[in-house]
Amino acid sequence: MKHDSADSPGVSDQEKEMATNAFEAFTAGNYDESLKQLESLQELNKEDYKIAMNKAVAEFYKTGQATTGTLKQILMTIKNQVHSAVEDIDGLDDVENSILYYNQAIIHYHMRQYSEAISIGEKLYQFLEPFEKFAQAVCFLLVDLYLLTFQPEKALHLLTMLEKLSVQGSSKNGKGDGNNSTAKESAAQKAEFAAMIEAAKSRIHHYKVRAYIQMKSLKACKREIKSVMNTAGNSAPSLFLKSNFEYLRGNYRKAVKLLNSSNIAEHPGPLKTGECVRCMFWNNLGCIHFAMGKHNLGIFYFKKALQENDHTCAQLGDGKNGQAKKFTGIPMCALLANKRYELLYNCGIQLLHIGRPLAAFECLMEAVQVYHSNPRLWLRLAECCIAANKGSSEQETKGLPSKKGIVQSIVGQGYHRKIVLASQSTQNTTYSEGQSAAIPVASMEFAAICLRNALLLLPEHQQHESKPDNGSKSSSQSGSTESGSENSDACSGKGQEGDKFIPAAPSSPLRKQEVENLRCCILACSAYVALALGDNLMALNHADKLLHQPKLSGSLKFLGHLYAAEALISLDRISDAIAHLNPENVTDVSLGVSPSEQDQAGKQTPLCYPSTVSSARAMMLFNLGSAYCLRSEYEKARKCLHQAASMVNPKEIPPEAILLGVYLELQNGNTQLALQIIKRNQLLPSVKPSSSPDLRKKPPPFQPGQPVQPIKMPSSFTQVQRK
Amino acid sequence: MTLAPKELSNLLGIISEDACGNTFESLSNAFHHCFGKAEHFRVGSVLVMLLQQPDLLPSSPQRLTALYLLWEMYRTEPLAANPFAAVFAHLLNPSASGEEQEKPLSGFLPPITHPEKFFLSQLMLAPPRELFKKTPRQVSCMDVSSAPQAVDISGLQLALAERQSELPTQSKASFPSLLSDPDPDSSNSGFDSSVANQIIESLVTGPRPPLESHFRPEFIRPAPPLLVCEDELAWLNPCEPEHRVQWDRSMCVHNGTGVEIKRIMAKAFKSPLSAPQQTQLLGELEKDPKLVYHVGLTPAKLPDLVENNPLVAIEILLKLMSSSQITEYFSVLVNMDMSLHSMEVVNRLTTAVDLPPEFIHLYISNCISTCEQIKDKYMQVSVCNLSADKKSGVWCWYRLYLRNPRIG
Repeated sequence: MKHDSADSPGVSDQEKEMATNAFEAFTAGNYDESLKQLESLQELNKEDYKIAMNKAVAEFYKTGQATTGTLKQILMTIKNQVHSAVEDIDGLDDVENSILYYNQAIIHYHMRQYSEAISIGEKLYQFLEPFEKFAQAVCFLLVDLYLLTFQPEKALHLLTMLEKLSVQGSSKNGKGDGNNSTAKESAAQKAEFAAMIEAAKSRIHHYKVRAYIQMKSLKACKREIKSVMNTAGNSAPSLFLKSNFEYLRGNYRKAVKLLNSSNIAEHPGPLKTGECVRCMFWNNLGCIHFAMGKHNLGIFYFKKALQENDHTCAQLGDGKNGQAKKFTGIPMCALLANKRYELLYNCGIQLLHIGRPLAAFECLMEAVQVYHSNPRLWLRLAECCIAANKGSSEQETKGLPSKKGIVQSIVGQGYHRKIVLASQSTQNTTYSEGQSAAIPVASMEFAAICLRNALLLLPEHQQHESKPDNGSKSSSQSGSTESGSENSDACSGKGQEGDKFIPAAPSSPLRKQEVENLRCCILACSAYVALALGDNLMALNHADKLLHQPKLSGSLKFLGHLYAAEALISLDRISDAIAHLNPENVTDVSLGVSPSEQDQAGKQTPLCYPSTVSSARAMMLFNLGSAYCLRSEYEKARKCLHQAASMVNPKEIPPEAILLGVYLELQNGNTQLALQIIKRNQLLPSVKPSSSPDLRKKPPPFQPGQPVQPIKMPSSFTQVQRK
Repeated sequence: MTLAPKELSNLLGIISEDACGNTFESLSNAFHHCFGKAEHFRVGSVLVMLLQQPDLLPSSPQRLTALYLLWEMYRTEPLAANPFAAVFAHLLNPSASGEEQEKPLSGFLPPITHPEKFFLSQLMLAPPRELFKKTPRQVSCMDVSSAPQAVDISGLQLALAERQSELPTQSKASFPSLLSDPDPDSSNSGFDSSVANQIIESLVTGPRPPLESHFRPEFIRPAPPLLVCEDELAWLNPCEPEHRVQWDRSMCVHNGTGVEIKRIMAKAFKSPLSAPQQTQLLGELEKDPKLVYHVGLTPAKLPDLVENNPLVAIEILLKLMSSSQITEYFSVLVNMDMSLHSMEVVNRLTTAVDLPPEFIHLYISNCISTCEQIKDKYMQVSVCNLSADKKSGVWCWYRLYLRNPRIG
């Protein structure tokens, strides 16, 4: 294509004929013949690189599209040659070489190098001729890529374009064609074109539904779903899409029905289509049952989906081959069949909700290697760590304080018997000593790292002028995440202009309100983790920030006050802490879920958490009592304790509150009553200090303690006391 | 803070009942033989714990030994600097001695006997050397009724209060977490030192021994609930994509014209074309309607073409009307610098096709702002004349608007 080549005589008729023959053989699937033609063509014409490319393409098809790696190499070489030759004609080559670029994009797409594929596709898009099959192919590729990278708005824009073009195209095709082609040709073209448009229409609807689903605009989705069902009838893709739609609307039974009606047994299988429909089927059933709150079924289905996926991968030989062979030996389309990371993500979330945080942690750690720019996933990892480090979670989840929570151990027997009281804070504080926090174990230190990542991945809040205080500390962290996400292909949809949606692959992007909820949750977890790590300043900082969030749910507001107060206590700012512990601060304990969510049956709020305003207030009063104790205001503390105890079911009184009762009795000198409280593991009516008789006389060291009677009624205490 | 079992047995040996026959001096020597300065605090903590648990340290001579050692360890430093000075102050507190039966707080030190108190008071003052020549057993049997009862410890108390005020409130509010709970049913079989020693061992040795833990009002800290959100799980949809590697049909089909046209176009971006070149270009474009997409025009290059070859630009734009990029071309056209050529192009376009109204509005406002800035009167007039030629209503409006304030 250099200057002189233009002057060289044009392409000879012989060459043209050979080129046509080669193409015809290729379309007929006779790749050997096509290759033969191409080879002799190459002897005549050494200039045209397209001969070499078509040769590579024919070879590729000859192997059943299984030599993706090789084709990629050849295309790369060709591209480098072409570029060195035509660089001086500033970019004019792009149209000439569009097929070369397109093929490269296709390969990137199948190798999941989505951002590379997108950048090529977008370049091609600038030179597209309308109403051409090739133009459509490029557009559809781009749409697919946008959807894969969760950029539904871009996809939708392109789809409306495509739609408009196909409508315009069909009308224009009708009148204008007669000018330059014979009537016969035009008729054939017209028929072909009409068929193409029909096929395209169905695909456009299909893609539109996917885009609307990602944008969570169910109204628009409903319209498109109708068109899909009208055009593409009862194909598996349509039924899955409709099921997805019903799932999002909360019609779970309908969703299951639709999935069941798709005949997955007849699906050609992953080797042909590159998609393992059976695996998708089980996965989606898992999603539905998760949403219904049937977590055990959910986990069952996800495990099944994972098995199916492993089976598919084994069938494809994926994973067993080394890295070098990774892209050869299996058809190119099957390169996309592996859905392991999506499945692991789902599995992890399900395990977390079922109360198996360590298993969940393992799944999510694997998933985060691919989806590392998903802030919600980082939060989930932190939640796993928190759940895994929550002491005696079984009892807590049942809402029953265990004796174990109060007494650490009993030492000695007889008159040497001693009770060692348990310190809740040491139960709560878990340092994993001697381990680097960067090594992923489900520790609180690792939770802190996860939460920092999560916060950094969220866009800055507009209302927050003050920059986050953890900025300097975690800048190195942010650097690595940032650069990492750029390399990532699964997450290239990051950083949209406008930032209306925050990408959260493999889930649909997050809307603004979801982002704000997420931020609140991250801040609450951050404060909690900082407290557990003894980082009180940080805890206070996070709790304050949490309390300043504009749309804070009642329950997180409550937690924000609790955490702030505890941090302030540790910072020796008792009065500030007491201000946070005003029970009036709790007005509701909803989790800030959209009303539609709450209506759905089967959704339950997590246990181990105050479910009513009064129990939340009681918790606050218990803590207020502790705060008063520190100021030696024991009477106030006692009042708080008893007021709070009257607000909750006696069985639900937390161990900390019972210990507070013990503490108050000990301060009061009522050792025996304190012991009674411990033994019965419940709060007991206190005795006025004045009535307390002298239990211990003088110093006799051997005096056995007062006999402890098995108590039947509270009134018997006074007797014990008086004895 | 824990003691190794070996260290503990050494310590227990020194404060054992049997050792109470030795003089304080020899006890002190034995102690320093076993423990270096670094261990003193840990040993002292164990001693305090034993003093707090009378069942483990039952006899008065043993308590005397323990008190003596607590004092002895830090005797070279001022009394208030002794970390266990609070123990002394508490035991000697006159108010406690007055109504000691009032409030026996658990975990606090049980009151001590008069000889013990006397001994301790002696330690607080400058103790006579002979005192240490005695044995704990002797001291415990001393008749101290004649000795002065109280020693003034207010200075010590003051110093302690000052030191404590620097401690966090939470630390000050702590009790030891060890609570005596003697079993009333057990027979009072007397003290068995081997049993006691076993218990002591389990209290002070090993990782996180009970000795270390403390008991204070604690906060309930519920863990945050799991984030609740809709649509988090990844739903998988089959979509049967049809993206395939394609054969390049342009292989060996392009003839010279394509390249020639591109060369002409490349020139057209830089300078006006000659008449034959222009004819050739327009002719080829007319012949092959798809050629226009291959000539190398991009929206970015449009302004150059408009300035140098407005006629070519018009023809090409008209052919590009159905292109997906046409809006890009329009927006470039609207935003390019105002000139006769660009106006000419827009003018021709408006007469040939229906332009989007927002495009025309944008263009007009652009024209006006440019017109106002033009200094050259001649230029202004010609611009306005050109606009005066317009026939469409929009352009008339434009003319009126322009004429009245400017040239009128």
